[in-house]
Amino acid sequence: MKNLYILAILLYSFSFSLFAQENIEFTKKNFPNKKKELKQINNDIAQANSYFEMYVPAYILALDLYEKAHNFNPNNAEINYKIGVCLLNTTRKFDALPYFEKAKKLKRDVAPDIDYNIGRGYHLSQEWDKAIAQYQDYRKTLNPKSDIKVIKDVDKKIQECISGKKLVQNPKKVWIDNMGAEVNSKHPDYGMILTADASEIFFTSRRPNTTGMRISEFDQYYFEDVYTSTKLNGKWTTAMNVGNPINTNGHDATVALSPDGSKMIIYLDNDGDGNLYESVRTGNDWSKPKAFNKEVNSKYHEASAWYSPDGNQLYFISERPLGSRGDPKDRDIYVATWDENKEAWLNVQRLPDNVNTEYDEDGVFMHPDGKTLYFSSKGHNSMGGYDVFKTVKQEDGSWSNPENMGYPINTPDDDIFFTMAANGRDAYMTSYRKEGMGDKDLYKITILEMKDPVLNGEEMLLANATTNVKAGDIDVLFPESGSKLMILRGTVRDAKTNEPVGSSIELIDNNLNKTISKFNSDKENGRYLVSLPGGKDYGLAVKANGYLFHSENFNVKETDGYQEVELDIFLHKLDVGSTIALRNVFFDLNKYTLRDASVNELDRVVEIMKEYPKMEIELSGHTDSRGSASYNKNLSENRAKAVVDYLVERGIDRSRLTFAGYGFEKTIISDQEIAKMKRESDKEAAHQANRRTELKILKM
Amino acid sequence: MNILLKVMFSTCFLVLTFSTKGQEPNADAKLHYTRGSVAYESKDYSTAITEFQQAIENAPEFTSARMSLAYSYIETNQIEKAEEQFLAITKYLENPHLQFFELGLIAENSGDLEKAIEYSNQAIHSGKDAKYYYQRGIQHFKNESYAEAINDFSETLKLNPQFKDAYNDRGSAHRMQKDNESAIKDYKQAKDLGRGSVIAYNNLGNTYRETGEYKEAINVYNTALSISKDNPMVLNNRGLAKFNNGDLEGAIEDFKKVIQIQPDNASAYNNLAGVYIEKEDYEKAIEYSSKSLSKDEDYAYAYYNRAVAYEMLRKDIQACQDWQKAADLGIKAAESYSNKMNCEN
Repeated sequence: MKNLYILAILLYSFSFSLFAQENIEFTKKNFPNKKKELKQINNDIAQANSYFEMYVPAYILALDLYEKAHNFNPNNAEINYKIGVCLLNTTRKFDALPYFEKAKKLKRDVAPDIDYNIGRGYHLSQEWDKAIAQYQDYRKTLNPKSDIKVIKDVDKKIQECISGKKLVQNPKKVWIDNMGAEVNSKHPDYGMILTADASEIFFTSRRPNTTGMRISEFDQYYFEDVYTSTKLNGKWTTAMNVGNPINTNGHDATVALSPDGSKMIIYLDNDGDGNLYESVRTGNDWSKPKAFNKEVNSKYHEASAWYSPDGNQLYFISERPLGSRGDPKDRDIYVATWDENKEAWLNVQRLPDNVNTEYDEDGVFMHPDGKTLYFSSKGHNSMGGYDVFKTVKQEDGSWSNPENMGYPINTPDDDIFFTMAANGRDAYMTSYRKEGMGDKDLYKITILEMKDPVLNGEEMLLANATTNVKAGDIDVLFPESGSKLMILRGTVRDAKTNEPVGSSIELIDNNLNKTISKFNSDKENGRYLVSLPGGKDYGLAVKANGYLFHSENFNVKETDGYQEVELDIFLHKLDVGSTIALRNVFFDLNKYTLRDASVNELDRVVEIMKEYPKMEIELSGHTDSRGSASYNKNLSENRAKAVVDYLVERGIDRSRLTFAGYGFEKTIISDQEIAKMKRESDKEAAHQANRRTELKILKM
Repeated sequence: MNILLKVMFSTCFLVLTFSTKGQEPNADAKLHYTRGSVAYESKDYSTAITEFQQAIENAPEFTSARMSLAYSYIETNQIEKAEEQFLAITKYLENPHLQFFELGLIAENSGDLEKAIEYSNQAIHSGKDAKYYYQRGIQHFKNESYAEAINDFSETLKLNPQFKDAYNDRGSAHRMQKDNESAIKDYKQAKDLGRGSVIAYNNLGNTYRETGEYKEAINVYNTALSISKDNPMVLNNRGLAKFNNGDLEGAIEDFKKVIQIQPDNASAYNNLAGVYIEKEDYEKAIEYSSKSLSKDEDYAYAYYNRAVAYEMLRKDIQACQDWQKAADLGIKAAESYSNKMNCEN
């Protein structure tokens, strides 16, 4: 009987020893027959430790050596722990958790923050409750007096888990697709910037054909360079290095692109100062990047930026101290305004505290609608690291409380460099995902606008059914679509030769008679692109030396939804016979009184008449084909005369001006063509095109 | 032909007397009139017209003959000639309210509502009758002058508080003015008077549905269906209320029943598509919206629903085609969705 007991105890101890792992140190005692390898491994560990303990740890270099050690001896607590830490600081962070768990199993007190790191592992795997439990265990070990900062960090992590749990329960309907092998590589690809119509992109990559072929000693990746790709027939072309002068032998990273793609902002490290530079494109050539003025590029780190669509404001990230807060190294969002007289970005303002937090903000992007600002933040209700948020500028200049973009756009890892096309449907982000090409990749996020199905009831409103009236669309309410803006793009060309023309383009708010912005068409290819947020009546004036100005009008209603309009503009030389339509001359309905909104356009005519004092012109009125011929002829003549009267009032000699009313004798778009159009909106646009005041040069 | 018109004509025909302005028609005129009446009764309208014309030739002021001739013209779809006769009569009678009323009906049926209202004004001026106010109310309604319609229906009810159709129609006018509370009150009156009109129940149900009172709407539709079993209009609307109330299976059942009764009902097929979109069964949604389009190839809402389903299945080319078709058929939102998907490219 006694023997049975002893046997049972022995068996129990044996089985216990099987489950309780023993921490095995790298000693000769433990590896008696592997002296040579052990010596090498210990050297590797020492080297790895030196990398690990650097001021800026070289985790990738350390990891490589620790993993060798681990292969030799997988049961060392410290090595497992350090591998975990290294992994957490690389793109293999999702692999860290098993190492931490093993480290703790091997030695409970392997490191004071082991519970914290296990918590980090669960956090990244979205095992929220387990993560919270680990964080709480770690918190209990901290000293409330001396570990205030650490406690704050742990509390933040717990809060992030709570946020994460909530956000994951209400996922956003999105599709997340890797941008594919034409764009991505097995090397880090990130920081995508795009034109407003998402037809062209630039991004940062650390692939082998970097300019200068240098490799970073810290992370062993190639130096950063800027690459580009274009959308052709719905597919992205193979990414190309943009070359000099944007790319140099150092790190060159993308930051921002103007909506028309004519200006790019890049980031240069400047030995840790971190500054923003601007390059301007002509055709396919970029200028040497020039630093922003010191109001933007302070002596602190500036990392990210984006232009407002009218080009008048620059939103950017800076680590400058806040004055009374004085926190160094807290990245916040600022905005600067372009001063045309001083040709500088001035009047820098920090965005308010409901947007900026005590934690870092980064990756700022202003949508082409001019009011929705996307940015990443480690504060607010982030679920971990940087999350993407959006805030909307209000009429009174304040900003709405930022809204987390939700899961799966946001994850417990850093989610940053979020950009969006003008259509509000296609967004882009950098992410590390298992299904990627290796390391960070660029992803397209399709944001699905939930469209309710349309069901139709049946109505018989009147009791007498045979004379009945149906209510039509009583039941049907179509959801408003997200982006209410128009993207206008095309080329500016010579009307005779069809050659591209570099021109200045002025965008005017017709209701306020105020210039909103000025930009240019490309000298080499004539290209231009402008974003017109909904809710305004826009005038567009295109000017170039030696040409008659060109006028267009776009009344973009908020209810119009998203539109992309292709418009090639043909400029006529200042010659006898050249004719333009003055699209921003307005009259009240059926009347010939000029509306105030016409002033800007007519003053342009005054300007050109004064510039060419011998010029004589005809102003002619034209109507659409609806209504009687005599009525329309009469109205159009009166309207032309009203324009002449205005010009005379502005000092132009009446003898230089002739007027005529043509009614609908000279429509641009014929009735037959209009009848063939399917959509009412197209028909109405055609009628509107026919209604115009024209200017024709009679004499120079 | 307008039922009301027919009723009026028949009634008038029965009570016609040999009315003239002061003078008795001569014997020949009476003879032709009698022959015409006999021919009219036996639906020999051609003979009736000839005889009445002869009667009028003999006695131009023979208003009864002119009335009968007008009705004969209406029966043979010679509306303009009927109009001429009614107009002629107005010269011979002191209070030609009935004639103006008939003229109003003719103008209404030909779509000239302004003219119809003018005639109705004259009818009312000559003789205040509930039916004149009622008809003018309808004309105002069709002309989208709902405030005026409400006034006329109210006048109708002052003259005849039992005129339940006026309650129904006034309710609809309130509804068009977004005054659902008043609409509900009137519809309830309409359905409570007499044996209850399915149309009034249907309208009441639809109003409850619009105000979000889906359960109430369903109850009303149920009552309507007890009066008019398997009425497809009511079934369709009940299906919609069930859908709004989250009872997707119930909605499917009702829409399928509508299809059983009306196999060519494009709206019912499309409604089924809508339910399947809600259930995220996009393949089925495509199936039903396609069926809807096979019944009505220009049904814009079916293109819309099918586009939604295609888009959710990531069949972008098909989605684009349907968005563009929906936009061509007048759904402006579809144009924006098409632009956002970059369909042109």
